[in-house]
Amino acid sequence: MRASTARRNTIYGLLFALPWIIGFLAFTAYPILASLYYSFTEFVGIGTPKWIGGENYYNLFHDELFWTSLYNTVYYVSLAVPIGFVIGLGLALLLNSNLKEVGIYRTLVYLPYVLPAVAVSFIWLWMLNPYYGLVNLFLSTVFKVQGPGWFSDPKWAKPAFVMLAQWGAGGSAVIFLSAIKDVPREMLESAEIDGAGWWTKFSKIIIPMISPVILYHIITALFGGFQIFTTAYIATNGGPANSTLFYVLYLYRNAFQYNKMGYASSMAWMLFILVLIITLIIFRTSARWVFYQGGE
Amino acid sequence: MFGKKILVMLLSVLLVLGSLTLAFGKTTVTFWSSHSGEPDRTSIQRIVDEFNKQNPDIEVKVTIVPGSETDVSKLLTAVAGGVAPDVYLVDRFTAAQRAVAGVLEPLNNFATADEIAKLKAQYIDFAWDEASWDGKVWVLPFDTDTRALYYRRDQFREVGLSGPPKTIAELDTYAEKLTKKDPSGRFLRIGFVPWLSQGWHYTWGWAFGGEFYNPKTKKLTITDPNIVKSFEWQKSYADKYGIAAIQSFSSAFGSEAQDPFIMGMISMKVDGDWTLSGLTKFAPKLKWGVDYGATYIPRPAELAKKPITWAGGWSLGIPKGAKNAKAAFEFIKFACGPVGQKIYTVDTLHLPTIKALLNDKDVRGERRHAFFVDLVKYAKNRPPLPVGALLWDELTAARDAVINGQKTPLKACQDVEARVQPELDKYLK
Repeated sequence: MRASTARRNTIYGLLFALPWIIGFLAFTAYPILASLYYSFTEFVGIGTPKWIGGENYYNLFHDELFWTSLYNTVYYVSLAVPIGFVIGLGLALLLNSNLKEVGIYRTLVYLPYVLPAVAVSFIWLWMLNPYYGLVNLFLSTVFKVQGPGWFSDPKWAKPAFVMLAQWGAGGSAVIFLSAIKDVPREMLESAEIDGAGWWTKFSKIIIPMISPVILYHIITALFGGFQIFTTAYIATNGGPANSTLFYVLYLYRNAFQYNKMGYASSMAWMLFILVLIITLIIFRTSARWVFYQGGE
Repeated sequence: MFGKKILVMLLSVLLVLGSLTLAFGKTTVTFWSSHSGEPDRTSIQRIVDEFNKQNPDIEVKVTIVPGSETDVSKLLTAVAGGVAPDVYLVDRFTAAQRAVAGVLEPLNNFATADEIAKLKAQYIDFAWDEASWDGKVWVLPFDTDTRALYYRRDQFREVGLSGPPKTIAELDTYAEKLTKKDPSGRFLRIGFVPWLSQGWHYTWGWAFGGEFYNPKTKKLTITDPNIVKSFEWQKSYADKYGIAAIQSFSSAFGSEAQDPFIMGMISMKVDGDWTLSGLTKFAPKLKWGVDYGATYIPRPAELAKKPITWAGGWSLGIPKGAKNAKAAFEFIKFACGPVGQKIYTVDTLHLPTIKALLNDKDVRGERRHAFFVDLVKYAKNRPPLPVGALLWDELTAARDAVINGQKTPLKACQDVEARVQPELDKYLK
């Protein structure tokens, strides 16, 4: 009797999950596996793919633009992720204060995050306009320096995108904030009684207590960073001089502009492997700095 | 209960009847166009309305879809998914590329050799060349366009220049004369910047007497000394005025009423015939022949006597898997024929690819437009290759690398050849 109830529950469970399972198999699992096959073929997107073995992968390593796009993306990720972390956490700490209007501030900080990337790109195109933009106006009136050309200068275009990415810092701030709120009060209070200052409380209690959320944040931010596309597609479309030709942008061009769907598939798999390796490394080291309550 | 049953039955009968009338009624032709701007959009609709009126059994429906000259991702996925439209607006220089990608149906499937020959005879040669690949025709040519040097006569008078520059050397000195800076050294006006607007790699490569492709050897010839020279010359502007300063200045440029030429921020630019309608609309105070004019693109002194320009334009094709290809073919013959092209070129001030229309009074229009119509006979066209989009992007990247000082002109041109030729060879074997 009991076994059959359990069985029935399993069947019902599966039935309820079926729409998702079908969707996942048809629209996620199948395309992913198909792209693995296509990555070993010459394929224009329509018709029969031609098997060419590892040629796409061989060509990738000899493609100057592949390296350029990889360099641009790694450059971007290695700036945008740490800076995003510091700003997100900093905002969360500020929002954790006991001001009366803190609700308003929380809304204000979160608000930019809900704007679509397309709109944000256009806003920043004007914010960073070398002649009329707010950012350069600020630099010239407060610091008396002439700001750079940002999106139009190959040296400054990538930092401009790093800045643009911070527009969404409110999203991670809210997640950090909820983690900080979860830190047991009595821990902080007993630390205070023992004479701990705010830095000690922050570094010895808050950071370890929210470390699982930090791990989560870093990994999702890495995924997002490596996939930067929309803002770059709109603001610069890879220019000037390929300085913002990010990995996925180049992948997109190969797939939809140059009829090289097979080559684009192999790029996708290279990116997957790269991100997988980085994630594994982070997980490996995380044992040393991530603290799970109730764990060892 | 009983009433419900009757209702259901009635509804089903209605549904069946409804689908029957659909099946035996008009043939619907879906037409995807990426021309979302005006006046192009309305003009295309006018052509469609006229066709629907003349062909009661066919109904063409226009859908505006996202896309651009080289970006056809929506079409690609639709064809791959078996839901292709019946007609698609294709940038003509990419027709060969779409052909080898298997996105288009060759038009030879719908017409006899005789009819194809007759169609061919009515078009300007280069437009037909662009529409063909591998001995077949893949699209019918729609409009074309030409490029010239626009210049601000009022600003020329202000600095004491009487006529437009004819040679590259004159262009350089005039540009310097017309450039103005504020006391802090920021540009108020730049006389000329080669790579703005339609000052593409092709524009200057041809102006300097270069050729990009040799159809006999089937080799790209980007390292043609004249093309290399055209890059060197563009770099001289980056050096003279400072690349960062020019880029900062030009990133402030707007469009429409804020167009830098209308705002007087640049005195000369290479641009196309379609700019005329913008000038009329957004700068009604600027008068042709008084405040601005257009002239042949300047060339090095030894070539200056021979006018040159280049032409592009769009075309209509039938995607693979189109459900109503036969009716679609009737429509594209109409839209790309004398009637359709006349509506479009008169409305939008683009140029026709039908030979007979080049002498049509209404198409030629006012004098300033007739100037661009007459340029068609000096027009070069981009080599109709299945790697057209790639070549374009690579040339643009090469130009950027040169003016930003990252590569020498020769190295940049060699890199383009090294990257694009192997891709071309794949299709030629």
